[in-house]
Amino acid sequence: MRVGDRTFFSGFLAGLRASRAQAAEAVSQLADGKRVRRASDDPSGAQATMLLRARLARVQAYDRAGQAARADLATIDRVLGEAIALVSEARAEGLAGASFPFGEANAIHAQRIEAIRAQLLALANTAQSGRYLFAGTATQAAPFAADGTYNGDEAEVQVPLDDGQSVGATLVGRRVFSEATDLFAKLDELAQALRDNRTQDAAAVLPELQQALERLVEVRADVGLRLRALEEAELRRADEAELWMRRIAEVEDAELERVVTDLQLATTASEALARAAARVLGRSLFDVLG
Amino acid sequence: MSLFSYFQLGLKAMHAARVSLQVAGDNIAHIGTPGYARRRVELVPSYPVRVPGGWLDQGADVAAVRRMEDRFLQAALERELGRRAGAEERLRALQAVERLYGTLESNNLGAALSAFAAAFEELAGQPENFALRRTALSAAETLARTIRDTYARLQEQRQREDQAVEAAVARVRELALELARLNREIAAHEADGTTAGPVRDQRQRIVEELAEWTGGTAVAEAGGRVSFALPGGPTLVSGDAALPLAVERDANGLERVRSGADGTDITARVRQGRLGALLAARDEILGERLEELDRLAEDLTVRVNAVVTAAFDRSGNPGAALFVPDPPTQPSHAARIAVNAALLADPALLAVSATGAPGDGAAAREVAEVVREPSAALGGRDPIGFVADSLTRLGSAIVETDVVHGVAEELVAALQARRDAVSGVSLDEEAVELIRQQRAFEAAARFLGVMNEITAMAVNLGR
Repeated sequence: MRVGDRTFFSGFLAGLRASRAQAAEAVSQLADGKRVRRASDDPSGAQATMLLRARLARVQAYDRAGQAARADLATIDRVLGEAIALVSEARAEGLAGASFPFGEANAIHAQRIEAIRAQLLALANTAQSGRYLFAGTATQAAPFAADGTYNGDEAEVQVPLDDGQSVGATLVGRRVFSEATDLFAKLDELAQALRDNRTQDAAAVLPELQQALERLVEVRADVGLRLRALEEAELRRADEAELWMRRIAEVEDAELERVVTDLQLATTASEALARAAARVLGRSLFDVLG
Repeated sequence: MSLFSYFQLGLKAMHAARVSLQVAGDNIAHIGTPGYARRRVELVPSYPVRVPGGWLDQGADVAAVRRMEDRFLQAALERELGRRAGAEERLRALQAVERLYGTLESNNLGAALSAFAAAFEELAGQPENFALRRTALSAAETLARTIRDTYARLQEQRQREDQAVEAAVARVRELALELARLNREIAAHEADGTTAGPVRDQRQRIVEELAEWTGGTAVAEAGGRVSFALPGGPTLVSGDAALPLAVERDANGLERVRSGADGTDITARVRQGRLGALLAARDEILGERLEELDRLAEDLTVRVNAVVTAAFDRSGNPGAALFVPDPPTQPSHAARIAVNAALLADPALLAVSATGAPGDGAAAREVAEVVREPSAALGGRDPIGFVADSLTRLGSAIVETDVVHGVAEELVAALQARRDAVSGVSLDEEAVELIRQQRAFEAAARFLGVMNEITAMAVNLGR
């Protein structure tokens, strides 16, 4: 085929442009370490990373909610521990009073039991970050009145563990302090029996206090399980987040060795092309005219 | 033959060499001129004379200065130029739209949807927390603003494409008028049977540019004229007459393209060349994105509001809508989506409780689920998947168009190389031609010198 000068120039120019574009792409990938920046760089990969990012955001939201719930449940656990100690103390006071029917001493026992009741009431009305922890979902008002009446509701604030699973971050105070045994009423009853030197009546309250104590231990164990479930979910989420981030990186990140090789190839091709062009176009019949 | 006729013969030879040298010089001068087809001098023997023993030529005459071209190759090149220009314009438009959505890392719309869902998810665990209520409202505001901004940017881009359509039609009009004028000029110049090379070169450039704009091709007519029509019609130039396209603004403020022949609306038919790509970018690529965004905004507004208006605020009162139209008169959902100002002023009014209890965040979780639940209005996709699908389709279209453009680019290069094989100037060839014609001129001059000496000797014989 007859080859005109324009064909020569166009060919060289197209070749140079292609190697320059390849070099520019390699430099750009080296600059930010990304192979896929927009959907057009890898449509299916881009779709996958967009969905993975949404999952990652969800996992991170679960994580933040889980951390807040862990703080609430840790406080509940501490409160329940204190409540168990107080009820044990109240039971010991009751037992001492019921065993030794001396009026003056029993008045002191009754006084101590009343103080314990007040402390227990304060614990049952514990609030953290503006939330009453034993009020169910009616978290904005103290769940227990001074006479021990429960004013909270019967549902718990739910925090997601994973998709479809959740855990209560608050407790229904009625179930903790007054469902099987009305702890506040029983403490009132015990204190009054001791104050009146009715040791038999006082002794009759003690098994019920024991029941309340067992209930508190049971609830505390349940809270412990919830905390464990949250910790395990947190670990799972950390693994999941790492997996999603790794997959995103696998799709989006550039392979440095390949990019450097591509850059080297593009630079070499560009230089070779320029030399070839200089050699071919540098020779002309016009040099011998004259 | 007389001695003097030899002078005539020498002169003719010198003339032929001089014209050939001039043509070679002209070819060299036009090495970079677009549309220029190299010329060759066509020499024919002069009318022969009878001499004793036979016939003798009287030298060479310049019969024509031929313009070297291949009409069929040229037509193929015109078609491919239209395809390449169309693909190039489509690629530019698609990439411009993709840039409006940001990079994958900072994908504003996808990120805003994810952040919105995450904020409500977090709020669901602590619905009485004011800071989280503010965060959720702020995420809702960011989402609404991102949808509005993306919609506005897409509309601006559509406006720019529309302006480009207007400019393109004006240019096509100009070119059609110019082509008709050159047709008339060529017909007038070539009435004596010669070839008006420079005017044909000029017309070739016009035809190629028209092909790039419209994807049409030129068809040779009688008298050296060409006609030019868009693929599938209408005709833009027929002989000496131009029937240029016209534009007219429709009720939506967009330019409609009308045929110059009968004034019919051909907007939907023009899909080739640069003009076709501009119309497709405006009406299909951008139109589709705007419609999708509008659908997304409407779906989010309807579903989120359905959840929150059935829920209760922090005080246990029935909930107010989260997304409200602002301004309400704006017909597009995507252009008017905004967060209820009353909620922004008092986050306690945000209704996320399904039961009315302040610690119940079930409705917040339902709001978060809206972003992840499939919706019939979004073709069975959830909003995040819908956005991801849309961007993936855009990305695939870019990849596909890039391939089409690359193929067209290579075909154009191959056709141009083949055309250059016929019409292109080769400096080496011209150098050889210069040497050849220089020698021919020298030989003719020498011949004349010899003849001069012979004539002088003949004259001296009589003394």
